[in-house]
Amino acid sequence: MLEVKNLSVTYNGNIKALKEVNINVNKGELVVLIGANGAGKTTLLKALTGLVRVDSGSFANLDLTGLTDKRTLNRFCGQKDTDKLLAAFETSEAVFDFLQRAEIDQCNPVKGISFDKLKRLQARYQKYATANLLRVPAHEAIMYGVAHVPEGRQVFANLNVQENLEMGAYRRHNAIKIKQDLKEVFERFPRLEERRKQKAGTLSGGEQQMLAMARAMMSKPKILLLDEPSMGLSPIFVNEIFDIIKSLHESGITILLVEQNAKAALSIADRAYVLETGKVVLEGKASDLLNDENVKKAYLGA
Amino acid sequence: MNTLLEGLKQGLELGSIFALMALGYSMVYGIVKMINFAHSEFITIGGFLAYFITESLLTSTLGSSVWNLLIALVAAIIICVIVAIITERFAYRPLRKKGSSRITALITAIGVSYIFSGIMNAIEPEQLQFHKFVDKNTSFYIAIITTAVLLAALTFFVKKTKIGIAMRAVSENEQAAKLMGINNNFIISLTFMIGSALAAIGVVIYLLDGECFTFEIGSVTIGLYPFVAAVIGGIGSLPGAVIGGFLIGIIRAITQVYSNIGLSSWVDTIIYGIFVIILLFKPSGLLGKDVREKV
Repeated sequence: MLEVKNLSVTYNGNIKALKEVNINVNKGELVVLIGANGAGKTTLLKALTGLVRVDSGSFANLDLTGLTDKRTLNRFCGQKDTDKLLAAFETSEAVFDFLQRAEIDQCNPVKGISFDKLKRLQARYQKYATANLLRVPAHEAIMYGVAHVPEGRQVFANLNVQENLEMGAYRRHNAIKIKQDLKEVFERFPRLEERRKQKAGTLSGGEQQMLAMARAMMSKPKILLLDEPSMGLSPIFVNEIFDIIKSLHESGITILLVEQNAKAALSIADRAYVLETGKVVLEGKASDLLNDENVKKAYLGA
Repeated sequence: MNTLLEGLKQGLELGSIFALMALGYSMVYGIVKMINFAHSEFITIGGFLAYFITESLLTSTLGSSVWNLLIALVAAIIICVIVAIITERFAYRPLRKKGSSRITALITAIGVSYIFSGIMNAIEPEQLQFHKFVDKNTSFYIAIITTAVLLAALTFFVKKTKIGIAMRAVSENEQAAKLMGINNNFIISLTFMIGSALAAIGVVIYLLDGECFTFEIGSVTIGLYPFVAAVIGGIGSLPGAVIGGFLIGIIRAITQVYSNIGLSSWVDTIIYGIFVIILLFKPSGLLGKDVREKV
């Protein structure tokens, strides 16, 4: 789903923060990136969402073509046209198949959508379904289904909880759907509902982390980038946050998680990469790394 | 007693005008943490445009009807907004993109202000008199009502609408706002647009009872008062800007009506004295929040 190739970042002309990093995240996977302070973990996530400039020759190919669910279709085509397309093709898989085809036949198979419109939808689909994420400006990343929960939570402290969540849905326009999702978020995080009119700055660290994650979920992302969600939290909250990540993963979202808490992260992840001074030094199944002698020594304190 | 009431009335009118202009300083500061000194020239440009349009329309069939004034007002707003967009786009945004220091942005703003001022001086160095559309009494009510309505509308916009909330989000954390999909350049541009539109409205209300003015109306005649008002009220706070505006307007008008006892030459000393005292006790302004910089 996300294929990072040759990603290099240079700060101030000479400090190499990332050196030709290669990382893969497959659809539905929970991949964790562990490493010490200053290894370049945060830089990597920031590079993916356009917050830092990358060196030329870097790629982060995003491929959403494998997604064939109705919600993805909705995102590409809009509610009305999705309904018409579904009426013509019956299944969303067939619609995607049609949109992926390079050329549309001369006869228009869809009732109610003009030929030109159909071509525009196809172009739009092809633009968003595959892209080099590194060429996408930061404020557009969310349109590609990429939500980034930044380091240190960065909730809007002077906005109340509900306003923060609404900002998560800033680029969505279906007010009814947004309301439904808000309700869902509050069901998942009852603590946020209790505090919905409270300024986010007054929440505890753990609650702010929940809010930051919930805010990202409001954009209905396909891939979630989490930057040290457990940082600075009390042990009870750390467990809670990891439980949430696990349940998000189980609900089908693809996750790239950056963590210093290697043990907890490895125990919920599918695969892992170890980053040291800007380079990937180790990769493999999370369960294997958990038993790797070097990893144990360096990151698990054993 | 009558003099005091008269001063109070003039002060409220002047105060509402300062308030409209202070809102521009305050909103722009709130979002880009920069004092847009070119704001005073937006005021001048608005005044000039409104003047030239009303003068040319006076000879048309519209004459001195209210339509003349409204057309001039709308045109002044549109041009001011365009000037603000251009200023932001070509003078301030490149600096932001390069991550320059605040002092660079400040000096640039002062530079832009002088450039506009020079252009205006070249266009018309003489004193002009705006056509007297209404008498003093009517302009008083127009000023008060306009300010009240615009403040209410603006507060609603910032507190309740999606774009308004996004504006507050950008002002607080640009990076996180970007990750929400908010185009902060658009939001910043919009803030400049609102500020300059308010400047244009303010200056037209200031002039419409037949006021005389020169190209220095924004930089000298009205000058720093709206800026001071924004700071006294607590820069970044909308109601603060309005309270600051009224405060300064009233002090200024009252000291002026007592010119017979020699107070008028003390206007600035008194205003700035109060300004300094308020800031000594409340450095962030009357309604300003204590800003603690995050490390």
